[in-house]
Amino acid sequence: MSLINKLVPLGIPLAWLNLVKEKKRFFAAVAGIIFAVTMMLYQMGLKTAMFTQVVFPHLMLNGDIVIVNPQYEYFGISRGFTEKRLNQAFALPEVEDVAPLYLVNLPIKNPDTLVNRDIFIIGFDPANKPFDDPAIEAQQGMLKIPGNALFDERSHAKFGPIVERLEDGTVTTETNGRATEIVGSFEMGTTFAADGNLLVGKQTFFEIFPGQDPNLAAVGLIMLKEGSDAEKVAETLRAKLPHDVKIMTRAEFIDNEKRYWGERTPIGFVISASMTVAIIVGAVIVYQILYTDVTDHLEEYATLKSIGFKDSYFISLILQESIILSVFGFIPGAALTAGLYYVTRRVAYMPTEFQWDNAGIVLGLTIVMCMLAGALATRKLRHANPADIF
Amino acid sequence: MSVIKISDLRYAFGHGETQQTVLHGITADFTQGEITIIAGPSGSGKTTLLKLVAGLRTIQEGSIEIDGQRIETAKQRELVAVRRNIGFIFQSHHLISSLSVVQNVMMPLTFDSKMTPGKARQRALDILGEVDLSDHVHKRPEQLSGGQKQRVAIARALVHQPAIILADEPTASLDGPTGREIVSHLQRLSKEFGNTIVMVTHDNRILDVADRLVTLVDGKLSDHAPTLGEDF
Repeated sequence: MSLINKLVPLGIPLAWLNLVKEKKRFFAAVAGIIFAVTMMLYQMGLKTAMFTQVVFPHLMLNGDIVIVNPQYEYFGISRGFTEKRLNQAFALPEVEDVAPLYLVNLPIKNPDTLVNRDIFIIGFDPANKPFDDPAIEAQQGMLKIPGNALFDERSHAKFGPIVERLEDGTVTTETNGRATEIVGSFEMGTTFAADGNLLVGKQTFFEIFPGQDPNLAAVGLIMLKEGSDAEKVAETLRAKLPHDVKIMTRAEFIDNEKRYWGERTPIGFVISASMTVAIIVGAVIVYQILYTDVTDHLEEYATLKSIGFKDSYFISLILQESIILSVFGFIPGAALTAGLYYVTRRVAYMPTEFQWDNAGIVLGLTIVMCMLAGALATRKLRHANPADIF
Repeated sequence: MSVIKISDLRYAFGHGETQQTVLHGITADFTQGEITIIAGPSGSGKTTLLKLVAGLRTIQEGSIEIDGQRIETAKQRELVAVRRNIGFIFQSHHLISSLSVVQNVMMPLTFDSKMTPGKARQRALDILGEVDLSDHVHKRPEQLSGGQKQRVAIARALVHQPAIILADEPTASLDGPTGREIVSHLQRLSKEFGNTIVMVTHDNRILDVADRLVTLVDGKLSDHAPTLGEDF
């Protein structure tokens, strides 16, 4: 007997017919699953976007090894470390180049409204190449002139129409009360720590942030010669450098950022908790619908049981109903989530994108959720004795 | 040839002081192709006896053999096989409400692994024709009258040509003429297919269809034959 014939004996789709017989109940069940799917997929999208977003700057940086302060938490808050450590690292034969970065959040004036808003400022020596980005590389020479800056096109709108104004020439504004000339733009993106980004040369950085010790860097990038083993060089540096710095490979640097936002802040927990709640709510709704279905059809199922249908047939029937509900709930739920992603991109500047792997996971979770609810709902049927029902 | 063999069957509901024995050591044989009516008043244990024969209740004392298979010692798999060789007609039709008439009748044919949907449908249509329901095959049970539903139940019980038909008060919810019509259909088709029928009823207007009439009173079976006018 083929699988199709086992699932739908003699082409009689009883599971489907049972579901659609009570149309209101069917739509209520589907609505419940749409809710659960939308919640799960949206939360997963937010989580994926969050992890993508928090490492936007990291992915644009050169450097196989990163040096930071041992108390470094994330790319935004960073106590500095002495630049001597970078120079010591440069002495290793495997090291091609080093580049210190200076980081700070300072207010920039919206050129239209003149309102100050904090922007994330990354300072670097324009003679170095800390960024793996052609647009920055092409423009960083202009940052040698004190007061010049490059503006992130993907910054929040609250900083004003700087990008539009750049089409007509440079934009004059103030950063931390110092005159700043925005001479170009690049694309990086907002993070949880930054609503916008500004690149400046080292000299400009210390002019607009005069309180900072110029001998301290926030992040040190170490570029290795081709063929060098980053893991081994990192080990060597850990052994050779004093413990006033923390050495990470590029992968560890990226992972650290994701872990910080995922585990050490409430955001990761909130998203995981929301997903769990969505699964539970969905499972309860499906369970109630399927349990009611079993109760309503108990006499009919008992009749079939009395004429020789096995428990496995009814389990298969309820599980089929679960899968039908999953699929009917998933498709509109996924479409609704795609719409929410679009709104989130526009409003919250988060890189929420519909991802098929996330959709596959949610579809799998939905099917498992519905099947578990269905399996629970069949308990009453399995324990039903036809003789007690008639 | 004996198709159903019952030996010293006893059955009681409840325990201890509240225990109520409904069957007191029943012994009976039911022969192939014969229509047996078990008559008796309400509460005499007729339905319990039928459910024990169908393997729907657990036998407490005594034994039942269906086509040589002992019910009281049968495993679940064997009970399922026994049930598949029995057509059951219930007091209330118990049709599947979400299926059409023809789909309801096709359901027992799913046990036949060689049955194709086309063949099953044709067989169901044929037997629905035999019970004068050819014009109603696509309707849902809720669109049928009580008598029509019971005729569908008869078609469903007979479609897979089981050796035994057990009918539990098949006319109880029907008016006199309709009940009579139902039993006539059952009698005609069982003679055509050679089924053994055991029917329990307290409707004395249909007793004449029986080849053999037994009564169950106070949990005891006897070959007393009530007259048509006798009231239970």
